[in-house]
Amino acid sequence: MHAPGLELESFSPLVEPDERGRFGEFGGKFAPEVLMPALEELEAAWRSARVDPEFLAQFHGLLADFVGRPSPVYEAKRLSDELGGARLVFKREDLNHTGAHKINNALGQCLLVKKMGKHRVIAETGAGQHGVATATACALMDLECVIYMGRVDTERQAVNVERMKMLGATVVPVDQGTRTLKDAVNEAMRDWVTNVRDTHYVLGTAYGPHPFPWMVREFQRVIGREARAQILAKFGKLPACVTACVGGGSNAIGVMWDFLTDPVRLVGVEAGGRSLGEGEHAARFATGSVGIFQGSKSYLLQDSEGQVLGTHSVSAGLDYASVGAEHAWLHDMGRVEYTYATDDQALAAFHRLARTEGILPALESSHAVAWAIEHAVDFSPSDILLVNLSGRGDKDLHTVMGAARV
Amino acid sequence: MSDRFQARFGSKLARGQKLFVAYIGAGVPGLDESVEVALELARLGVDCIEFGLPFSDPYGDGSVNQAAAEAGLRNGVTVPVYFDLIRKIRAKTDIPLVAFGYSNPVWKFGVEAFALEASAAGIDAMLLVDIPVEESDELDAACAKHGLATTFLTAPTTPRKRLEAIAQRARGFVYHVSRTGVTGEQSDLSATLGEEVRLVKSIVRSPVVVGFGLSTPEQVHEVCQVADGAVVGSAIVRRTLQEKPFPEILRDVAKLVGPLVEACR
Repeated sequence: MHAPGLELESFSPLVEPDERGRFGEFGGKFAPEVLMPALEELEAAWRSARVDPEFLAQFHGLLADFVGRPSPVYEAKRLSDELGGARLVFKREDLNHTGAHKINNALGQCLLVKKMGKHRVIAETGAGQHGVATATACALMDLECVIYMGRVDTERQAVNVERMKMLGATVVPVDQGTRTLKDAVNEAMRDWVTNVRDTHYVLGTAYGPHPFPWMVREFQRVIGREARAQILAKFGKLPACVTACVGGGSNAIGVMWDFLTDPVRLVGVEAGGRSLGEGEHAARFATGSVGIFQGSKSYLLQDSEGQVLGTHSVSAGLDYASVGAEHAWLHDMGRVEYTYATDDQALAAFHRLARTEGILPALESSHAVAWAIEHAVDFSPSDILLVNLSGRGDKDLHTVMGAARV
Repeated sequence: MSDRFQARFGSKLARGQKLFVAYIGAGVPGLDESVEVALELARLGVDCIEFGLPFSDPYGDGSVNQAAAEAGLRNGVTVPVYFDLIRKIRAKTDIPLVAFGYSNPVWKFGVEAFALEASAAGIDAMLLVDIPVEESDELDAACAKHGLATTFLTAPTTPRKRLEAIAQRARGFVYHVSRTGVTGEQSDLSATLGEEVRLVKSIVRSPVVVGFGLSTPEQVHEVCQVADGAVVGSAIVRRTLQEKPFPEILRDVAKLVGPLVEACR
């Protein structure tokens, strides 16, 4: 059931990137010199933390008691019956404290910040979920917190802006460039190069310079590790397919990683936006090419001159010009299929899940739901189709209501 | 090192003088106007020009250089147009020219092809902000093949071990960033600058110039007490971005840069 052309037996996942921080040709450390020592310090701290029983006990303790893990897997029987194909099963990351998978990574990195003895944290956010998660972790651990957010996103995710402020964070709206996620990352990078000595940048996704793609993946792997065990226990077999939305790619790599060597089809769903026209979407694998952006080599939406193109998605969290290095590698290896869902498909999936199952999914996660709705019939009724429901949709009501009025 | 670097830097330093390096954005305020600004800088006695290749997402730069990159792109600076501008500058001056920017436009064009055409157009060195020494194999090989110097940044945070790796690769000069932060003018120099530059100079053989935040003759003079020269960027770029007739912009640039060059003598 895996991608055609790939011999699963000959495929081995990269437990960690190579010494240059590469997944194949992708990844690396394309950062200004001023940040390089901080990246080296972070890598050293991470390498020691990941095998430190005390650190891991703290991390998993917070995941259990503070986040509420394990998050359940839930079989969507009404929706599956309506669709008449695979049994749809949701991994409910939307039930985590703060409402999305982002909290897993935010807690992991903030624990590391304490270990490194830094006291100030910055982060970028698109949908606001990573900003809320980081603000939450900082409140919990008594860290100063500054969140950069594109002006466009502060408007479409106004409730999350208020949540971050209530949690004690400073939210800085970014008016540069396209005023969305990539510009928030640029501003966070500018802050980091300025305050690098006492500040850690809690990057919210499996992107950026090494060791971020690897470290964030490891903090998010709990999703797939749990889901795999839960599904085996509940159904006595592996899912036929696992699907997740892909922005930077942290929820997708988190849910997929522990299935990489299983005979399980893996499908990443990008933002197809309004169309595949220039600036109208964020489907990097559909129309992008390899480039170097914000610290990493990966697939990038760029023009013929190597200038980064604007993006569009109804979901702020997928509205980004590039994609995590490990996804680029998995794409080229043929292990994960990448496709896209349009704004309209995601909105339709949002409403359908609300009506049939009583779940309001985040618009990001709605892209994966849309793929599952469309492709459930490709499977037999005994097959399990696992969808990572990466976040909840309360934050998106404003956008969804706006779309309904158009 | 190119002959032009050797001729200019070598002879000046041998005479006990310091180097003055200017950064401007290609295509700012207009295509041909940016050539005129470069030629004016050469006339004023500037020793080297870093000619900024614009990028859509210059996250190492402050608002002034960012605005310049946006203006350059708006005015139509593509890589081929950039080389045209270089050729026009090179036709009239022997001043060392550095292609300064971010990696993606260069990689998109092809690193090897870029180095070949840059060299033919009259570029002497390349400095890409997001290519640290450990990612520089491809760039270094291409530059070496086509007679370009590969230059690097050093920062206040750069430890000795990294300086040693940079020293192995750096040709032409090393650009020491005077503070942690993005480009842009500021009033005070870092208190630890002298110590940092002495460390860099003890390890790096190439001339060490210091930049980021400099804008006054006093700052340039102070930097030249410890370094081989000074770099001024944003202060010049800000003048080229003004909404006024071009001759006035040129006069403003001259008024700023004349005393800065003087401070390096």
